[in-house]
Amino acid sequence: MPLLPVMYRAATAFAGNEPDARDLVQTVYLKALERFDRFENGTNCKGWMMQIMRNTWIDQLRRRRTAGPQVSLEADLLPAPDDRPDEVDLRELLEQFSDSAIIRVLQELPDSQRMALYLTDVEGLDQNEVAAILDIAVGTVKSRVSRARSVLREKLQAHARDMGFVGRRS
Amino acid sequence: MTHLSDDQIETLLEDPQAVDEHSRTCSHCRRRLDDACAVKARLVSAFASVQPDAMLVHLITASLRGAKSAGAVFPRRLSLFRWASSLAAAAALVALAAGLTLYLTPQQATAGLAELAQIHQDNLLAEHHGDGPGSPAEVADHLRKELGFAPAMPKLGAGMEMRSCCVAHFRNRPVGSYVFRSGKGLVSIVVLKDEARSLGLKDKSKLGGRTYYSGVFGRCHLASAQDDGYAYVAIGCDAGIPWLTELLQDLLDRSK
Repeated sequence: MPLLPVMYRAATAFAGNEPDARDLVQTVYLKALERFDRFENGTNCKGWMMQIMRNTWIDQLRRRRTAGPQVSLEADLLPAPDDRPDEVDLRELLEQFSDSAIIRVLQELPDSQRMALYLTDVEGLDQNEVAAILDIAVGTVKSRVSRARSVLREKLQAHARDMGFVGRRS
Repeated sequence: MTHLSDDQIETLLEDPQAVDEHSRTCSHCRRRLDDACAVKARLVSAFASVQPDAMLVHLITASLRGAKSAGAVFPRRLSLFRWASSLAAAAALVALAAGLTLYLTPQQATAGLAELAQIHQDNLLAEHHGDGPGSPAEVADHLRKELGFAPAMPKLGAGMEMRSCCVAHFRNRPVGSYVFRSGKGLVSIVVLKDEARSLGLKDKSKLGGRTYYSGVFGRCHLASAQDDGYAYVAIGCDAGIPWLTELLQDLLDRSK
């Protein structure tokens, strides 16, 4: 199953925790099987399965939203974080965090931003592919990814300040 | 000096050949590009450590063996596509893990019915996790906002109670669904912009001048009817097809 590691990583990025990620990736494989007769040979299988994952995840979020706390599906209207002067070098900041901490902070991003950033930066998909998977315009992909990077940086800085890594100037 | 917009930065990140004089010489824009690259590199390295664990791989491998020894679970697809065996294994794994038998009846495993049964299964899971209840008005309001229309609702009370609703996907298009508790267990209603006759339900009957289609997928009974531009599908495990058909008749008559 060559795509399993890729799909599991994406499920982790989307769902944010291991049990949900395992459920999500299994559900995606099940749905892929059900829809396999509609997969066009020669097209991008990874993109096709990512699209199934995105739809599955959105469906699950919507279910939770009907009763539970509001889940942010569309965060494009939220104001971008302030473009404050940096307190530390970004590379230094990024190295302060372990892999799991980076992933945890990524989970704090709104879903729409997190998906766009993950698919673009981690999976290395081009903007057209991401647009097709997320069912949004290419311009929206760009703005979501850009905003996601800013929000991620802000959150990392905030966590770093909380932990005393930065911001304690004498 | 005008710096690069966020869009231009993203364009440059995707196509480094597009770098112009400004982005080469402007230290501010150069730094933004470098920072974006640093975030990307760190995310890639962070996710490199995320791998499916041995247990997950083991379970899938075991189910692959199980599917082989039990014969092809999904024979048609297996014979057409070699790698579909992997998917069948995952499907079998999901069904086994969930203790469900919805997907172990290949004779009825048409894709449309499987998707409808999956929506019902998801509704049951959501209900089990307490994602409800919602009043009929809330359900109608939610689906109107999400889909642009409010589906017909059954007569509640006397043992009938709305539990939750959601927007799901059928054939990669959004559809509305809600689930309610009845004397015949939990029943899902799925409302979609398809022809009722195109859903893969083979049995046909007439009731009160309306045509109903019905069928079985695994443990799910399904009945469907057309109402204007929408197909309504009632799905239940404990409810039989006659009961589901009458439910649809009542529901659609009430909407007139």
